[in-house]
Amino acid sequence: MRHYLILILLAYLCCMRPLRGESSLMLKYESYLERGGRVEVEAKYLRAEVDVVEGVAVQFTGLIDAISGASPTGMLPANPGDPIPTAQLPGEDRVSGVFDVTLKFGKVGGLVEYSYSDEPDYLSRGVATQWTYDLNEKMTTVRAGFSILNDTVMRSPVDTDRRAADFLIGVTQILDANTTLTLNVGYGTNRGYLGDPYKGIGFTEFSPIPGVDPFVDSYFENRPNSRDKWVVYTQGLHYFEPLKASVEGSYRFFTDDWGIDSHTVELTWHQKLGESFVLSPTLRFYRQSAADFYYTTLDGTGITPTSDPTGLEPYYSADHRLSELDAVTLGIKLVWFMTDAFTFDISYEEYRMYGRDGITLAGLYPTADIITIGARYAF
Amino acid sequence: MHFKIIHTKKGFFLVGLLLGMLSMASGCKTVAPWERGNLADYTMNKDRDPLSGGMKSHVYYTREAASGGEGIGGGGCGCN
Repeated sequence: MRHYLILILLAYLCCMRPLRGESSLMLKYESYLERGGRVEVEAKYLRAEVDVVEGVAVQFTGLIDAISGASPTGMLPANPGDPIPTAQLPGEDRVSGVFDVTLKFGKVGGLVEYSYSDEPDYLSRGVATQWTYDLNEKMTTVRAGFSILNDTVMRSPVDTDRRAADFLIGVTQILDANTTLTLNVGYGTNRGYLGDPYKGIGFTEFSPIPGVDPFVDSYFENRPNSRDKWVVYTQGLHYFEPLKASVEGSYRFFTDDWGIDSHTVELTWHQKLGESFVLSPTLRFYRQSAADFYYTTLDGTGITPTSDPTGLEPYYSADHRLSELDAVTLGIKLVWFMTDAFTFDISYEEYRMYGRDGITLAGLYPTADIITIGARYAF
Repeated sequence: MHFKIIHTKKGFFLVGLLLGMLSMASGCKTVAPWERGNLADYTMNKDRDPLSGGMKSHVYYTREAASGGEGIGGGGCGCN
């Protein structure tokens, strides 16, 4: 299937007759590397954008990423001070394709999308659409959209389904000749198997046989089979003409019925250096509360686990990504406009996670180095 | 697929916030098309690098419990 996607893209690009100067081809390579031998991901992206006729464009985004390294299992070390138990990732590839058709006629804009993602233990298929409308002499743009995902999780003993639907409405407003403001409100709902089949949680078993010591057994986590979430996102951009620079700031509030609330603040400065370069340092801060059913171990909780997750109460998970945590990203990106047609970019980001509950082991929270290089050709 | 929309105070507040912003928008002074040069600058385009935005969102999606808000679509994966 992955090879067919590439062939379809190549055939499409060869046969399409793009309008003058509006189409482009982008390539990017990303290396995500967690320190200490943890997760490593190498991703290769390709994006082709072709204006077919006036007001109609098609885009294709293809991705191949390979994940390897070690990931925490959710179990506690046998003894204090021991290394955190991890499992080697199988070194599998994921192939993904997203196909978009965008329309722009007068005040109305639209997008229709089909997505497909295939990896050995997960299959995702989705559709999405979003529509915009310009008001107030194009000072205001309102948007509304929704997406649906129909996924399959390949797990033992039987494959299970996962469904998601997301809705979004928003508005972007030009405040003055140098400032824009965007506000989006979103609602999402997930149903089905929402757990991670590779995450476990420890529970001490006591043998009825005299003389046999208790031992800690690992059980699959049991997350709820439903999740409803709300998100508010706002972003502002302001251009400083004397400095030939702009500042971009955003804030997101997220809340769901798993008990998780989060705040995300991101600030980026885009500095033009002459006519050919843009340098963009960035800072992002993320904070989340823990899921109601997050535990580091089931011992002492009064919960007796089941051998197979049911998605029904009682819920439990030791996945540190559901714990109370902070994450900080520091990054910098350089874009080089080599010619009118060719653009190159390179960026580095350091991503650090920190636990905040004082219970979850600090070593579970990784620090990652993310390097991205890219090129764009406009034709 | 069967799903329901939650009618909560939270939801109504958020939509009200959006409608409030819309109503405030009508009070903004119109910027003429010939005055929008800076708004069309590369540094002012929030979609200046559509691949980069998607890549960053994916990294955060695999490590954090929260997601979404910036837009719709982009597909799914078994990463979280």
